[in-house]
Amino acid sequence: MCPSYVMNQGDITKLIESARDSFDIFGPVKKRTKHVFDKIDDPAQIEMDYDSTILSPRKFFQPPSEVMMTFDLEEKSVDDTLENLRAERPRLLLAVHSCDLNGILLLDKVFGGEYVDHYYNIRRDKTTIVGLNCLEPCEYGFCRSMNTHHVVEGYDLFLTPIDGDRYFVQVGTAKGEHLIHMAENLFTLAETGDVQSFKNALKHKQEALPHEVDLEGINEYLDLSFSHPVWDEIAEDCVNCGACAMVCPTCYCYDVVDELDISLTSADRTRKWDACLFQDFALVAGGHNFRETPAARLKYRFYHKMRGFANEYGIIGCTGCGRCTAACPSDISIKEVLKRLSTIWEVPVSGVK
Amino acid sequence: MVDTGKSVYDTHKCRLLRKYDLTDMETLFLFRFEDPVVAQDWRFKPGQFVEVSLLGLGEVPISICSSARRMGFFELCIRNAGRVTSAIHKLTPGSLVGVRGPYGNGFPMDQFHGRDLLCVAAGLGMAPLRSVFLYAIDNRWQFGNITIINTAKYGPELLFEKELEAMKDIATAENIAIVQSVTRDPDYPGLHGRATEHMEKANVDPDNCAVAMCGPPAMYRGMFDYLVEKGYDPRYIFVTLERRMKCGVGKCGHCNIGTATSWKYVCKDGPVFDYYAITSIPGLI
Amino acid sequence: MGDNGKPSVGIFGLTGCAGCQLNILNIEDHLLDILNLVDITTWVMAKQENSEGPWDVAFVEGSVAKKSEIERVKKIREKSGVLVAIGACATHGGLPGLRNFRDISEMTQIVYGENNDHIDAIPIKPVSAYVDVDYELPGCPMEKTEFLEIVKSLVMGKRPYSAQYSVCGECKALENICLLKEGKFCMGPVTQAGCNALCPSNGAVCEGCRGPAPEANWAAEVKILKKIGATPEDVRRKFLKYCPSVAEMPEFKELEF
Repeated sequence: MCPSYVMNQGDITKLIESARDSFDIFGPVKKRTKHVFDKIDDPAQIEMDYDSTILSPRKFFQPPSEVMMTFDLEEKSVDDTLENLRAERPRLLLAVHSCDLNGILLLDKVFGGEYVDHYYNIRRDKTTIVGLNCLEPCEYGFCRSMNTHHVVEGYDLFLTPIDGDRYFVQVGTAKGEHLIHMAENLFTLAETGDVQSFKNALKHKQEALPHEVDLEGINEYLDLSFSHPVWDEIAEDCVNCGACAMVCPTCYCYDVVDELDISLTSADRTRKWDACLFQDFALVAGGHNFRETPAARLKYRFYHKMRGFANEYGIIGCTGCGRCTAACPSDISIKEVLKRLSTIWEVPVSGVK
Repeated sequence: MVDTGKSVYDTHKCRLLRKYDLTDMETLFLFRFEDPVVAQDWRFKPGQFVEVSLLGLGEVPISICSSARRMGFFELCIRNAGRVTSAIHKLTPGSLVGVRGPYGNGFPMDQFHGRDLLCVAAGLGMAPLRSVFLYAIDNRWQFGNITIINTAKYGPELLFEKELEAMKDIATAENIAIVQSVTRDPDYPGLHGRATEHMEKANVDPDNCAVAMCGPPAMYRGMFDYLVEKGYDPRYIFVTLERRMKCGVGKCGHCNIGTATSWKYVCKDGPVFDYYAITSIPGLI
Repeated sequence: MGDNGKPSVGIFGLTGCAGCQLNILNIEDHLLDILNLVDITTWVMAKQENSEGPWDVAFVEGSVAKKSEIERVKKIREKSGVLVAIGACATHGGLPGLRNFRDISEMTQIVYGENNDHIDAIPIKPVSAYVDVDYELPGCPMEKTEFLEIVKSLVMGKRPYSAQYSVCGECKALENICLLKEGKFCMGPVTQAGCNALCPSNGAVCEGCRGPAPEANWAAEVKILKKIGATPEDVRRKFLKYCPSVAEMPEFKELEF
């Protein structure tokens, strides 16, 4: 059994200072009334006790825009940027909540598999992730309903607040253990009393996090609801802006565009975030659009996230982080939609489909 | 994750040897791999596609339309339809492009062994089906009777018309029936009508026949109804689908199809799908 | 074709502030690159000697505000292979269009006094109301990057990229705090992207100067704005301020404020 440790919550700043020489450090910081994951230059900037962030940790592994390769059009040569990525400094990402850790695990499945995407994986391998357990619900999240409030893997270290001023530290990988050695004086081995506190914290979490959506039979009730009127109702409010996709920890769709330099002697191949909500996402040459209406695209996104993803990767694509609801200009709530759909068993069938 | 170094987006250099205009919009391009090792080892299956890259302009997925038995060369039939394809059309022999692939599942030709083969193409669909048809001819002993029905709206749009006409004489001796028809061109000197209207010229036996089709969704719907009614075994009916693609490897999300009950990437789980997938998964065609 | 086989270009201004033309000159880093690619044979703002055409590409800025401008823009169209409308005035009417919502003879009188027979003023319309426009670069002013993109595209003979979604998509990817959520009347959800959410990234609401996004859901935007306290008049003004031509669109006429 891997030993667990304890540390003082206040010592996070010292941990940052110890790690600074080896890592570029990122963590939650304030941005006006919200939080974002940003580079930590001054350890005092970090806000461990944050609600959620505007963008998810996805931006660390698949940035909103990244140059994949550069072309010299005169030499006809291609240089991919992987060497640059390999040469970058390791990163330490602090205070990632369980929902987001689960999100990263999902992205691992997408960018791994038969065709390994190096742009994602080099960044992933270079990042040490320190997770943070949430003992209280956040404003928009519904992780308990999606069963993503708990993690067993995906972290290098995992911190659970105990006794008001300390963290119970679980080690997930060798990278995590390495981090502990880097700042040994901050960590002490956990004792029986600490383990009891940890157990109390988990029990508190069980009671505090609400269970709001019934996932039982979600595949069935989603399949039955394909023509449910709720989709037309939401479509009236949806502006197809794609904000939900931008903030989502598990959205991964991207566009690949070549951009010529004005001198016409060189070009970049860039990949940037795309969203199935955008009008030309399913548009083919010749003009046919497989998802022509905004309503069709909106429905598609929900079904991919909640249903289709499970078919391909074995787990539901939504981590219940709630960022989509927070970001939606029309306040569309995926949680409320699911709650409504889960009651379809009581709705009588109207006509033959 | 093991970093093997080779990126999924790496392309092989290919040289354009010849281009040949087939129609107003479509041109046949003959490419050869620059690297002799790749030229020797590269294999593909009929129905697979490659991502063709013009540095600085972009990448497009194109079905391979040459025979899978020719090593080192491959042919692509490309329609002048967009930003990258219009630039490909301007290439001159000797130009280099980047190619990666092959991607996709291809038609399960080995499942068709011992069966008759019916190929039905409409419009640009003849491109991938040419690869299927040529494969069948090159492996003639593995199949029974072969029929290919090639249709288009207008005569000038009939793809590979001359090539197929020229094969007719010898083909009949090998029990290969070639039928070409247009659906909207009264001036065309040859046959008129949709594929279903010419099925009496097919020499295949519905009880032991594999069907490979490529064309617009409306054509699939019409042919499915016809074939099932005539007793063709749906387990051996396959079609190939087209979608917007960016990565070709099941990551960028553009080609995802299906909604409730199933979920596929056209680039990875397709582009070839069987009758049951098409008819049971909403949103495929 | 101009000299040296480079495409010949004419740049024109109708009724507007000429800021979009100035914005071309503001592309200091790449001005010489542009001049390497094209031959600007007509540009009154920047050249002493100007040709009478024809041009391979004509860039037209400004809205059509006078009868004489209708003639002028038609002549430009006749003499140009490709016509690109640049800036909100040319693509959607722009700020001059504010006068469309008042009585035009009353306005003429207020501005020019009693003797105003010689003033040629017609309702403001975008360039596309009178001639075929091949490409449009919206925004007030147009984006320098979009101008560069179109120059590259026209020289290479390829279609230019344009974002087919609304400003929110760009704004969110930049991790901006949503101004709508802070109770400000932002037009992001229904405005054509491509400006990299410049205004919201700097704390100012999107004013919709780039015109409607594809299939923009205006009814939803009206609902969003009213929920945070906008009056129907506030909403109408937001929609029409930079893009008065929107008032002619059937989707707009159907809206209930």
